[in-house]
Amino acid sequence: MKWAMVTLMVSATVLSDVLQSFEMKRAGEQTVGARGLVRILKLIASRRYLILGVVCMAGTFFAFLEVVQKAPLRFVVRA
Amino acid sequence: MKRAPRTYALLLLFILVKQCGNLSMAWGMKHFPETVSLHPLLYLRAMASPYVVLGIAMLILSVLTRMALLSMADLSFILPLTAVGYVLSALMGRFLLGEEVTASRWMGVALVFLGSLLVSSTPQMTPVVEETRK
Repeated sequence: MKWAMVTLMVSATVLSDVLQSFEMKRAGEQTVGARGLVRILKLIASRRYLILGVVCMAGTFFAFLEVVQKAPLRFVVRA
Repeated sequence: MKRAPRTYALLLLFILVKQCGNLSMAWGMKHFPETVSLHPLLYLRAMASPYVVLGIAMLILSVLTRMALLSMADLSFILPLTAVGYVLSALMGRFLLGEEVTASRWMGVALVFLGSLLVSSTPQMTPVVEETRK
């Protein structure tokens, strides 16, 4: 079970990174000023791969909480 | 500003915001009087701490900054470079939180830094090759 959760955590992280990278490159160069941040939030809400990326990030977080209860923190962080 | 300096400026901002967010969260959680389990009510109470709120806000900002970074450079360029944050984490842990950082940990941190230096010497974006169909 512990390894299943670690596998889920790693897969969700990788999938989230790849989806975000793919979609942000398609969206073109973004800035982080006040308007830029609002534009990124709108992008997240309107692009399905970004929404999926955020869902994967949430999955990573909950899998992390699950694993951290059963395994030492140093094991989880390294994984 | 040209693309490369802008990417590095944003990278620096991302690393600083993320590390300060982590530090603020760690500070807030360490000073929370109860042990937080998976019980949602305890999490909500922990979130009432101004340090935890500040930490969460900074971590959200860091996610958005990272997204902006991914629009400027390859994932395989950004991800190893953001590991420079581990160096900052070790320094903050040692000098602000009073953690014990052993020689082998410092050696690991130095290796992470060297790896990031190596990645930074490569081009940040894969050139887009336009296919010409005749």
